[in-house]
Amino acid sequence: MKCAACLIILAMTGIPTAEDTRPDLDELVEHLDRLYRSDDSYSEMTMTIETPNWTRTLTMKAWSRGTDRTFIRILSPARDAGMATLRIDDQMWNYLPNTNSTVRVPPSMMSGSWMGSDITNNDIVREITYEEGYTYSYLPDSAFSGDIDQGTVIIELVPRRSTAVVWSSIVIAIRLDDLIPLWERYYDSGGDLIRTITFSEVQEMGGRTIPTVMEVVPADEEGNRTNIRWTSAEFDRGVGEDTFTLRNLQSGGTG
Amino acid sequence: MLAKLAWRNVFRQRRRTLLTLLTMTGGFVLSSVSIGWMDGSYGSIIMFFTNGSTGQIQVHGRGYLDDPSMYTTIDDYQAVGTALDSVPGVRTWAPRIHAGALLAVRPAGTGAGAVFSNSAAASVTGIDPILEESATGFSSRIVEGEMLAPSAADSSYSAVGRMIVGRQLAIVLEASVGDSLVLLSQAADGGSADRKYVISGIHSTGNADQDRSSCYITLSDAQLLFALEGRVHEIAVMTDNLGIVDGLTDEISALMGERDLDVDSWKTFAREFYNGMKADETQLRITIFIIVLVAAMGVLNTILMMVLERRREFGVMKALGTRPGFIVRMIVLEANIMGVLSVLAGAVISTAVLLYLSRHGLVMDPPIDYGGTVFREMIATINPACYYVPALCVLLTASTVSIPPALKAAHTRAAKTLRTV
Repeated sequence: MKCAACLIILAMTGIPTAEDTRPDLDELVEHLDRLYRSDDSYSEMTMTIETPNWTRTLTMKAWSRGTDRTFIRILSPARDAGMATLRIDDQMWNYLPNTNSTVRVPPSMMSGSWMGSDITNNDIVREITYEEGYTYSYLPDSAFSGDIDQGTVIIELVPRRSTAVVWSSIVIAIRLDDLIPLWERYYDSGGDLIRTITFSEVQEMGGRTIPTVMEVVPADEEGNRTNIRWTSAEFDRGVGEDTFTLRNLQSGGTG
Repeated sequence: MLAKLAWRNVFRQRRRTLLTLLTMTGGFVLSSVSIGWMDGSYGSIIMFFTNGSTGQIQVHGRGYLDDPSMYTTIDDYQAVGTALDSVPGVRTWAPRIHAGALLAVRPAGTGAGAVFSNSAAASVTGIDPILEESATGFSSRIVEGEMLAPSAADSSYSAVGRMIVGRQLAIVLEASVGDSLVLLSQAADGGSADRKYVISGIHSTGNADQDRSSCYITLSDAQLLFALEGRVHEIAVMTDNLGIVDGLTDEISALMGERDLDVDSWKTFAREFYNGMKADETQLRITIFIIVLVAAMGVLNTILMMVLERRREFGVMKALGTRPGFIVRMIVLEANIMGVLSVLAGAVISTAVLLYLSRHGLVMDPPIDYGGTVFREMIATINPACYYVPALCVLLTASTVSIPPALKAAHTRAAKTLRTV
């Protein structure tokens, strides 16, 4: 009896200390939203796509402005060099240097793969922030069956009814020290894992401390993974509006 | 003695016999023609469907049907084709490549340099123009423009290819013959697959869903574009006889031996179509059962009447010392004699009707749409089932249906009947 009381007291004193260390949930989600976003950004990256049938590595440059404009130009390999993707709001175009043509991506292809990777066109177009599009809560450690490192918190994001996404929840593990996300897991309505995104190699880049490697592993395609490594990044250095035009897309240039 | 008596009895009351014969013959002809009609129209629907696109048998890389992956290929399709040619019963075969792609067209009225903004997702089929033509008569479904022909795109990646698009897809893209379009996809080596095409023809299978998403390029072009040199995803095998398909499937399967390939009949790869057919067939079988049942009721009716009419006769027989068993056997035999006569007469009439229907068929106006495939004419067939099923039904009915009245006749009480009737 005494022991039970002791346990309860221990438990009661234990919980507040754990909760003290948790940052404010709204601030945390806002922090996640801002991690890679900025008024504008320029980055260079390497994307390695692995499938059971082939492996290939692409290098690319990417520009962004706000949450609604993105421009990506492929630099290598030679067969794909010069290909580019422009996205304004929810519209998307691809430039194909081989045929010197610009193709609009129709809505029916938005959930399709981008450049053969495990990233979909929708992922590139996505402009909804976690804060706007989701309701969120801390998950107690006990509610999560996966392995959890010490010093991390788990939050769960559930899309609002108006948010059009194919998953029904995202679970994110965040390191408490520096509030860097370690991984994100996407689940469907049946509670099955759709894909896992793992973040690693936290470095200072462009004045920010960010994970510089992101790995996407779809759950339903065994042997597939896409690894994106940022090789350089600049934030809020000023990217001109003329970057995000069809003319620039078709120029074949890299600026 | 028994047979002689029964035989004479049959012809004693001509009008009564004729009535019974008519009922039985009518039942036989109705059942027989229904079966011939059913088998014939299903046969022709299946042949029409399979000849027009899928073939009766298909060869794929192992597991392709369940998971149509670009990487599951037939690697030595020429050798497989040569092997198929040696199988008796195989009329011809057609190799194909299947892939998904994004197609885009410049809107009408915009010049060079404009964005290809009319875009749609499509499934691309690479076909061998000559083999496909002999297998499925592909060009007969080209409603505008012309058939694919070998072009520079078959050997050069940067050349402009020629493409045939489905009718509804052309509408979605707002494109017509002579327009150029861009295809964007991914090759089997992971690289991008993009090429410019000129639309050389518009194709219509009659199935709007299929025509909304399908386009065709030459096999060599597809192999180059998708980095699948020498490989295909599918070989459609054509035969003229639907009856040998199952045996032929096993034979080809055995022939493929070591190769990691699946060989399936249309019942597997066109499962939905097959199940639809099965469901319809069950319905028709029930209808035929009802027809047979009605005929049986008629037979029962006439035999019952006959027995009632002849009560006096049976009374006399009983009075003369005939055993009840003899009377039962006599009546059943009479019914069977009439059954056999009806089967003979019915067979002659059915053959005539079925022969006519198998030559001329019935023109469907308006044509019926079965799962997207349009049929204009229903043709009957003549097979053993057209004869033995109704014959069995008539004879079984004649025997069983005549037993209760026969029993009734056998138990006629001689004295009472002779006095009252």
